Amino acid sequence: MISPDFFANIDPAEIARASGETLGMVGASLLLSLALGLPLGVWLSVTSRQGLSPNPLLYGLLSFAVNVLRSIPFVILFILLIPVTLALVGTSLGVKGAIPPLVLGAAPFLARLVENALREVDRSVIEATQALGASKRQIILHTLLPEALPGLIAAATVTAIALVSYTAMAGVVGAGGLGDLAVRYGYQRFQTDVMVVTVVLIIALVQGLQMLGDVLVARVSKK
Amino acid sequence: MVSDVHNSVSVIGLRGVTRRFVSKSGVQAALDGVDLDIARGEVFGIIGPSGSGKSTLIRLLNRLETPSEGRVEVNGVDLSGLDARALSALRHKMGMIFQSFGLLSSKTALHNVAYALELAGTGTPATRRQRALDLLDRVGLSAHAQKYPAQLSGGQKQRVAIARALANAPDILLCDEATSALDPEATQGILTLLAELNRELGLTIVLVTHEMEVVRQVCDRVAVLDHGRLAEVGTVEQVLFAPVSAAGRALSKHILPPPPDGVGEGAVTLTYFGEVVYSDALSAAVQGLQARFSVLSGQVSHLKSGPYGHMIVDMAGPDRAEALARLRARGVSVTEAVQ
Repeated sequence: MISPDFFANIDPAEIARASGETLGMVGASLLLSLALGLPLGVWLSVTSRQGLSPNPLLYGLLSFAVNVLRSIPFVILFILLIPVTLALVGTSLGVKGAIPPLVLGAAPFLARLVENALREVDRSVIEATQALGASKRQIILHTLLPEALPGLIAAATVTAIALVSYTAMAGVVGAGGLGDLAVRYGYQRFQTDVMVVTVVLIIALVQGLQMLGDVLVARVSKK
Repeated sequence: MVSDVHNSVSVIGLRGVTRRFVSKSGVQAALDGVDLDIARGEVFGIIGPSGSGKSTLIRLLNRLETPSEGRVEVNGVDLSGLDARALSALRHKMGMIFQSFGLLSSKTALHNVAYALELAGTGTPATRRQRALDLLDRVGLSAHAQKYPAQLSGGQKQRVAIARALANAPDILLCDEATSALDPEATQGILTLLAELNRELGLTIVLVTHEMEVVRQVCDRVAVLDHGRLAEVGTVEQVLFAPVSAAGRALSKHILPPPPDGVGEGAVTLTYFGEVVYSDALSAAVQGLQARFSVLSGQVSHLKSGPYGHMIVDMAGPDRAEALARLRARGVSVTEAVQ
């Protein structure tokens, strides 16, 4: 049995503040990642060999940039980006300082998932829309994106979960949030109870996001 | 009756069209120097085995594909000269349906049809909805307007696709293997619908298929493609019963019964267009003559232009020639060979 004083180090206010920071970082960086990653994913898809406007050179460049950003471990990316972060938001610490590296880490990841989701759209549907006289813009906005919507929501869900784990790592390098709490109290000060509570909260957050994503996918999917 | 392209207006013309594709095994010509004219109001079939270039050909007609050489003309306009806007306008007036339907899974049947109007920028949401409902009613699907494609059968999906293709009142309907994914019953339904649309709206229909049966039922004329070349073009009767190319013979074989075993020297092939009672014609032909006949095989096909009989008869006796002459005099075509 766990004794009641096992949770002696837990400060509910501190846990709530850290949870709020994590939610804020995940939420803000997810929105910004969508704003960047969605168009980038569409661009990748459109310029790919099977795309609406194949452009091997541009596709190669975009794809390379995405791969570079995706292959740098997040903690390294965070540190490498400190000058950029300072220039953009004035600090490399706290929630604010974490957002630029989180977005730069997650947007290319999301872009690749978006590209894959768009590739899943039945070729015959695109061709039929072309045969109806649709412009490329109409095909992208009114055929590709709506048809790929379940896949896009799934991509956003995976990205949101990746962001949760990124924020935990960002905690190590001064971003705050549940990851910060887990490292500073749970690990460095051997407060196992803090470690357990923060990890359980992170698991609950990931689980919640996945369930939300699944519900939304099921709701929009008509296949 | 059979439409003769020389007496009518050519709506679609291919002039020396070649389409090459670069593949791993090198450059291959999917189409090689094809010349073709399709007349207004006809149902024109393009038939050939898979890989013969027929899908490439139909996709050239609304520029989903572009020729490597030669010209494609629709209503006398060379498609290669069209800018994006003009191409959109052309496609609004040229419906197309596909083997795999191409319906948006995220939209209901109604919205799939209304979408075609939306893309063309016609009407208001309310008028588009009404027109879409009318079109679904025309193809017999008004009860299913609110269903998503996943809730419909193959035949129903193709009906939605036809309604969508007709949304902008096209003059031409392109059908790329439109019945190939359907069961026989649904195929009949779609072919009947296409025949009605051709008759009622004067719609020119270009139909790609690998099944001679489809050509037999709905087409006026047919082009046979073989390895990217035009093997022959003719009326359905010509290509079915007197094919001149090897590819044409191979295709019509699927429709005609195989010649019976043990056909003797005196066997003849009789073909007759229109209503005829063969037993009467044959009895009359040998009446009072020293000739006798036995029917080895016989079949009446129903073409778009009417019934068409084909039989193999063994004719013997001293007056054989006179009996055959009498048959010819009745309008029966007699060939001294088994076809």
